[in-house]
Amino acid sequence: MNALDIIIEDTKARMLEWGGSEPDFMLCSSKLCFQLTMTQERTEYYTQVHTRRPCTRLRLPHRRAPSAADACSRTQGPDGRKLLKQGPDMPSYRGLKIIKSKSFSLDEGSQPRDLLRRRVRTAEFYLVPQFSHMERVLLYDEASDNWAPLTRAEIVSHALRGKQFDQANRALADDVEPAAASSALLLRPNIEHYMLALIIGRGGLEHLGATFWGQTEMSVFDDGQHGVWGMTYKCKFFFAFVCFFYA
Amino acid sequence: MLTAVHATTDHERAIVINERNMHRVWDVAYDGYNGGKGMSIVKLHGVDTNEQAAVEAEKQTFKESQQNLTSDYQGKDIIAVLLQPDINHLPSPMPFADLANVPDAGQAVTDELVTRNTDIKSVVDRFRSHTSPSTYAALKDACKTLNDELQIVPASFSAVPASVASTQNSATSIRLFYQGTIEVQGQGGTELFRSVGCGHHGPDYPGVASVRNGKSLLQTAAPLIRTAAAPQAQAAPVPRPQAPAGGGGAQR
Repeated sequence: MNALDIIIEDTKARMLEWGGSEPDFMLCSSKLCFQLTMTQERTEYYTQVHTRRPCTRLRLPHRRAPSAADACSRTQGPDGRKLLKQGPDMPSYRGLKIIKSKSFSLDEGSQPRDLLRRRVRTAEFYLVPQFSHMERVLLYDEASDNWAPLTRAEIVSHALRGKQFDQANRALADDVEPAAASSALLLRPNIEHYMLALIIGRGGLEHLGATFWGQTEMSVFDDGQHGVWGMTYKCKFFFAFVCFFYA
Repeated sequence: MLTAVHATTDHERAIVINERNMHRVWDVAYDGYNGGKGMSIVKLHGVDTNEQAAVEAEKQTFKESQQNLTSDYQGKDIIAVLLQPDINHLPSPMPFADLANVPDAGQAVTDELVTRNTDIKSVVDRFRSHTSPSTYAALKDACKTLNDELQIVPASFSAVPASVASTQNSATSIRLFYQGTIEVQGQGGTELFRSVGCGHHGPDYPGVASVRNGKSLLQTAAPLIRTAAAPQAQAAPVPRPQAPAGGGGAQR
């Protein structure tokens, strides 16, 4: 998660450069909080239990060795016991109060969506030099999380034939036959992942803004027989609370 | 006849007064893989009439899957091109839109904060200056043919900002091709060439899928296994009374 630390510090610096204020909150998906909290340091509930030797100086007559119950109670102090009971929590990170984003029902018939989680398609190319000597290539298959082979025969039977470059005329000529191909290019143009986003800012009415909300009532009526129609619209906005806004 | 429709709506609007105090950061962490990084190849070459019909059908299916940005990508993954020049290296990223002669090469990026033409122009110029004329001509021709047939960057392609795409539940599509991880093997599995991925995803290796599914942390070093002895219940030692000094009790 070092990258997130860099992003936060970079964002702080960028906001100050632009004449903004030092940010005090980070709005992000709860998934991102999982990734921040499920680290070894934050989920290490127990301390190592040392078996003490019986004390001879104090002459305690009935001293016993630690049991499993003792081991459970020897978490990292009160904080460790609380952590074990409630799970890791992250109210703030690098000085920013963490606010978890929510999902909203935006599209009818589909599950609520978090606007800080979106689909992104990226693209990669893979150069295959020495095509005449190659037998196969190994590419990473993300569905199986492993390397997967692609043979020369598969590439030849599926590939688009590029054009030959005629050195004499400095122009492209006929299609490249597999025997004449010196290299190949593999493209993956639509690699799609869900990606998480976050918003960092300085909250408060004087620093950022506010959410206004109120109840509107619209009434539409139509009397076709008497030729009367109309619409009334009542709107009562009132200032509700200072918010941490995200679009 | 009187008909009346009453509609009552809770309405809210958030207003940002000072935009300098808010910073949106997109694509901070992976949260799941949808598709496109598999092993299926689009068939672009047929030897007879039947195969040509299959090729045309596959092209059409690929185009439809690619243009559908409102649902998870389900199309085929790989496009292969045979090239005549012996190419041993290509700069990364590869500006596909420029190679395919799309008028506005700035369509390759999506964020409104990027000054598109100037930023993309530097990428295009660097790619052009680092490739030989024969390689550049072959790539340009291949990319243009691919784009004509598969509409990878169609003329009507418009770069959608991340915030708009997120609101519309639409995927953004970045048309800068970065170098991926590949190993080329010759006879008997001997390694002829290897390149490590850079750019969007970085290197690929078995196990990285859990990171990209948001279920693990990216390993930045060799993993360590930490072991700690589990506490075991054992018999309590029998306390021994202090031996009285001089046969008597410990009295002072």
